[in-house]
Amino acid sequence: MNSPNKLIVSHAPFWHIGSGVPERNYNILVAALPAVLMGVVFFGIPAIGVICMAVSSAIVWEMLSNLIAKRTDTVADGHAALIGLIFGMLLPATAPWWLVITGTFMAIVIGKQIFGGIGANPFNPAVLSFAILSIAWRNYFDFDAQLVNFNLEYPAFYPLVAAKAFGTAAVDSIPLMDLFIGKEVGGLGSTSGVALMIGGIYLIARGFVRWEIPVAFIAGLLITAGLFHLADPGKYAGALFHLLTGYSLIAAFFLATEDSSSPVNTVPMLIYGAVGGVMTMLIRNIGAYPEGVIYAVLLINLMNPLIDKIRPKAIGKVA
Amino acid sequence: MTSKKHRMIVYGVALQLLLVAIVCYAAFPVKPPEEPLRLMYQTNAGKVLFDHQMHATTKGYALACADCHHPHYDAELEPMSCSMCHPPRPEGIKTPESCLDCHDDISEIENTEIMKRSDAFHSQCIGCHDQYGQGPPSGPEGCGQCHVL
Repeated sequence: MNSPNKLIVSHAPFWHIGSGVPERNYNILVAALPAVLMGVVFFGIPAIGVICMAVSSAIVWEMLSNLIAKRTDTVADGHAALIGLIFGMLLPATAPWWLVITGTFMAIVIGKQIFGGIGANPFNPAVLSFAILSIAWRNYFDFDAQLVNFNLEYPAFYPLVAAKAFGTAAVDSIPLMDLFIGKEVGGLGSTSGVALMIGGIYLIARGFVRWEIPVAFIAGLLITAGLFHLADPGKYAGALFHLLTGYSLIAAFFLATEDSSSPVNTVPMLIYGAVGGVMTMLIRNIGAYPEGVIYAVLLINLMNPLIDKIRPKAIGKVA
Repeated sequence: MTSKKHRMIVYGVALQLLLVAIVCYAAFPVKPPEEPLRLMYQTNAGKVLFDHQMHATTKGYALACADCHHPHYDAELEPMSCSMCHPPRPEGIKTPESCLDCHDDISEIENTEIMKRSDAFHSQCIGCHDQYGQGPPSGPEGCGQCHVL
């Protein structure tokens, strides 16, 4: 705890918005709520169960890991609750309770506490946990299979799977406005584009999220998807379709912008976001998975320390 | 607000959320409806999502049950899963090996041998789609029109 290394910090520029860590986390929680509410509207009570289980179990894992590691109890900073909420938003509304609890364990303990707690995690904990679980229990993350018993008033198939397997013709009839509102099969808190954008714009306006990452992510995704679509319109769906389906918007505003796994300098933020968008589309269109966001975010998290070295030259002598 | 107070509030909220989650999971489980909406078949050649609701209701093609399922005339039978007779069958459940296990009168059945489920489905789906000229085209290169490979 008294290590002198704690006093060594990186070069400027720093970005100070005059608020603390808890305020930041609780604001992100509030910003995510519209998307969660839309999920509850579309998927009903099971979505409430998943979200509540995710948030509460994340807090419990945080408390237990602090207790075992004899660290200061950090549940009050809201970070554990935030990780739980974001993880819950990625899940299908039918996720069983044990999957949610295992997922928050992976996120809090494996994704965050093992690396030293808040600010030390190299990957977005929720995304890392999702990646581990989706490999371990693939069928529970198959939205088509999980939502077969939901009576939906809109096309009841996961649009990204349909687009990848059957081409643009299979998704041409889905109105973009429906996708924007959230009338699509997907994660319980990640389908509503409008709600995610409201939350994201609020975070940017309040200074909790820098605009560079979401804008670069969306631009990278749109341009890459657009180029693919131009090259073969029958095989690759359009750019707006890809922006409004899957985890695109939740990634742009909530996943890629996670503080400790994203860069702080302007140019690195732009590169980080743009690579995220491009990789998402490369995985979706020519990779094995219909949804590329999870691995794209992990990949940009991985390159974050390297690209964050692109920074203004320090003035004066550096010790 | 002191840090301890703040922690207590967070624990209180966590406890309440946990109770809500337990109630949601226990009291409102997602139950399969009596008549299936969609069915997901995991096959060796990828998964197939079949929209039962689209085929069987006025939302879509409004087919009668007997258009696809075996007509069990003169018998009040509960609707059964196709895999109750067509193999692969669920383990641990006694299922008929031949149509004659249930039917005494051979004249009321076309073939005594029960087809494999995949053969029955292929014949049913492709036959109907070809007959009406609707939906994905069949053929040796058409697998990926239904199967997510």
